[in-house]
Amino acid sequence: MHYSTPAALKRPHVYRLLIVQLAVALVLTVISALTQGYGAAQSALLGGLVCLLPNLYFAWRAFRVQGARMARQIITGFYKAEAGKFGLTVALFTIVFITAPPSNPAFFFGAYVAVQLVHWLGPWLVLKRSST
Amino acid sequence: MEAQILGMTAIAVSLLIGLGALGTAIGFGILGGKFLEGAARQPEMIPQLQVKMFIVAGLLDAVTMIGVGIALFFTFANPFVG
Repeated sequence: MHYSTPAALKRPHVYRLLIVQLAVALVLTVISALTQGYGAAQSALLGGLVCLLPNLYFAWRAFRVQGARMARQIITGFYKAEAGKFGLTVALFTIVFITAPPSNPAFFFGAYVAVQLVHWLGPWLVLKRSST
Repeated sequence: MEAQILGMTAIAVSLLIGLGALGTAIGFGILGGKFLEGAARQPEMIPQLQVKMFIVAGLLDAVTMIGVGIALFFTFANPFVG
């Protein structure tokens, strides 16, 4: 019996969502730097990265397993990805608040929330332009 | 007074993280169950369902993650303590 290799499967276009999240974080960092200075820019960048890095892990972990015969493994992968994302978010917040407390919490949380809310564009970014 | 504020903040942080995790867990349980139902009915749709599940998962835990961020901000830089 012939099984297709995982490399033969087409990867979905979820990376577009992550690229838009990175772009939002960078734009907010530049806006903060131009309007409020270096401290606010650093806070905005940290906020964006605290949101982006767990999402990168989630996307990588959730799509490690693909294929029509892999339903249970896909579900297990999603559960592990979500648990890892939750733990990574808590860990990154803790690391930031202990090692480099944001000088401007409003820009830190503003950037975090803005990058997080890019998920609301997910149906448009991933589904509309995707052939899958 | 400060000890009372810290105690109430600890309770609030516990509720923010705990209830957020509970809501996400319930949502993911329902999402996973529906995915398995759909996969059992139409196995050829699994790749499309996987992408849709990724999008819904992001929407599902966005608010929870914001709550976690606020909770950890209250933990490490409590604005209510002078």
